[in-house]
Amino acid sequence: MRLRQMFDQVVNEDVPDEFLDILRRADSRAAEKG
Amino acid sequence: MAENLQRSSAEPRPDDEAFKRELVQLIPHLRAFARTLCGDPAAADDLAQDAMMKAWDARASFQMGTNMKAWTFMILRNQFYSEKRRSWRQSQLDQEAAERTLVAVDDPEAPVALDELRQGLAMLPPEQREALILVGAGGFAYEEAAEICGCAVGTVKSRVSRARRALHGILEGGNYDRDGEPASEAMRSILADAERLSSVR
Repeated sequence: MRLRQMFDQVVNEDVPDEFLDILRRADSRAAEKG
Repeated sequence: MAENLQRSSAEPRPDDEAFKRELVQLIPHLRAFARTLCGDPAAADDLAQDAMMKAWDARASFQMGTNMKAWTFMILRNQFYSEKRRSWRQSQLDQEAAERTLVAVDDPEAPVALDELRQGLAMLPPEQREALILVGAGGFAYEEAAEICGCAVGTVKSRVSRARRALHGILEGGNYDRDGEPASEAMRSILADAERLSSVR
């Protein structure tokens, strides 16, 4: 299953913090707007 | 009623929390799909982040309980092609990315993750590459892949078929058997996997 292995290689990488930071900031902006 | 009025405006809506939880689960898959489209890891992460933000901004239009993976994949590929149309150099960058991966094979310091398959995929036209990845690795049915790509099911099947043939030509004709294993063996494995996955749908 080489194609899936290649894909899963990236899926199994640690998610960079910047991804979660972006969501946190977006969430905060949405909350401020009320 | 009084409790609702006392509720802080800073508290997140329950729907937003559920949406965010599901979106966070999809981040690794979005990164992987972006990587197959862009080739370059940094560009792929930029694309995935842009898609994630677009999905968040459009969350009101998404019906919870439906296929968020397909919905976000559609956003990501649309963003990819939108940027591709805007940037006249995008095709040049794709070619450069492909060339970088080829050069890296000769570099003993290159990441272990680079392999013949990734190199071959990087050389396919984007439409064929995404179709093969969606069906062969992303776990989508032909119908779902067609919805993501905004085309007919027959078109997706045709692209997958052409991608297989093109990969065969690339792997057979390229210099990928440095480890002594014939490239044809890798191709047989890929074709068998893709055939098995497509026949299950």
